[in-house]
Amino acid sequence: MPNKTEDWLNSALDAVPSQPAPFGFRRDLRDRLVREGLCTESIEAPAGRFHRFVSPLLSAAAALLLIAVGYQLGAGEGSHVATVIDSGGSIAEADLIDLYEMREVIDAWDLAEDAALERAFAALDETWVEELLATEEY
Amino acid sequence: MSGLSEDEDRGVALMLAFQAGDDQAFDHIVAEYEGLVFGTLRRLLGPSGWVEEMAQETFIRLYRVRERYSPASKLSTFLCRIAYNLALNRIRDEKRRPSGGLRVGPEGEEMVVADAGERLAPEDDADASDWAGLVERGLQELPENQRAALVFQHYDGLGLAEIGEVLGISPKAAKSLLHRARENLREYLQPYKDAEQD
Repeated sequence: MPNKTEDWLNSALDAVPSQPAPFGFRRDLRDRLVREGLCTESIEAPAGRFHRFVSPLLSAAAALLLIAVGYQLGAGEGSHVATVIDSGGSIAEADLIDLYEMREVIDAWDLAEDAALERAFAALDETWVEELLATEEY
Repeated sequence: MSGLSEDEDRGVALMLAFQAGDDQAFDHIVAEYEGLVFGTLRRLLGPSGWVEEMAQETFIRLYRVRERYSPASKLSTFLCRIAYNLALNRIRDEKRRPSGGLRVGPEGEEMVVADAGERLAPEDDADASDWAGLVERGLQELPENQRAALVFQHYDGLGLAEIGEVLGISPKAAKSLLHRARENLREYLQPYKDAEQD
């Protein structure tokens, strides 16, 4: 109970907790703004921002990881560096472990939603990747 | 804007940016003021189930009437005025509805509410030690304008001039309203306080 001073009413008023906005309020609000034609773009929840940041990079990397994985398997080398060829034909090297860890993040955020990522992740499920992860180096 | 605090300055700056066409400024406004809007509506409407819808409507109105905002007012005052007008309309709609103790929520659900004046003696009230609940009930017993004046002053930190601006009355009338609100709430809560001391 509030203190017993003359101003006990203020203490009583302070007993009422604040009312936080429910989770998803901002997204719902922005969806409504879009529905009512006031704006055109849906608000991005934190996960959405993350997705926008990560997705192009991972989509490019993971979609072409299929090629890289194929290259690795075909070469039969023990290297963990994959050759990644992006859609523009650029060639880069990517660490498979990094890509695998990114997959863990993607899974955790439940963001894997395009077919290219799914195919790439399926390729990463090959046992040789797990064996690689189990080596002392990692 | 020399009389405004840093937070208030930020609210004004965000609103001016929004008026100038920066749509992301609106997202920042929602993020920074959603707590104020929810808290205000919760205290004005009570546990009615309408709070979220009214909060959404408050920001929709802000979006629609952004051109009417003048930096002479704090953004919080502007938002309180929108929220108050929406809450007042909702309360009036509810009063017009023949309820018989039932109210309909935003999803059409029936909500049981206590009849006004139906009040247990403090010694028989199982929730008498729940001061948050008692104060909320006491606020709901006040006339809407008194309740609003008290909520704006105590919870939202509005001054007399700002309360007057929101309610459409003079600062002197706002002071008088606040005095009556506090006296009425004190009178409502006094038996519980006395019972606690016995």
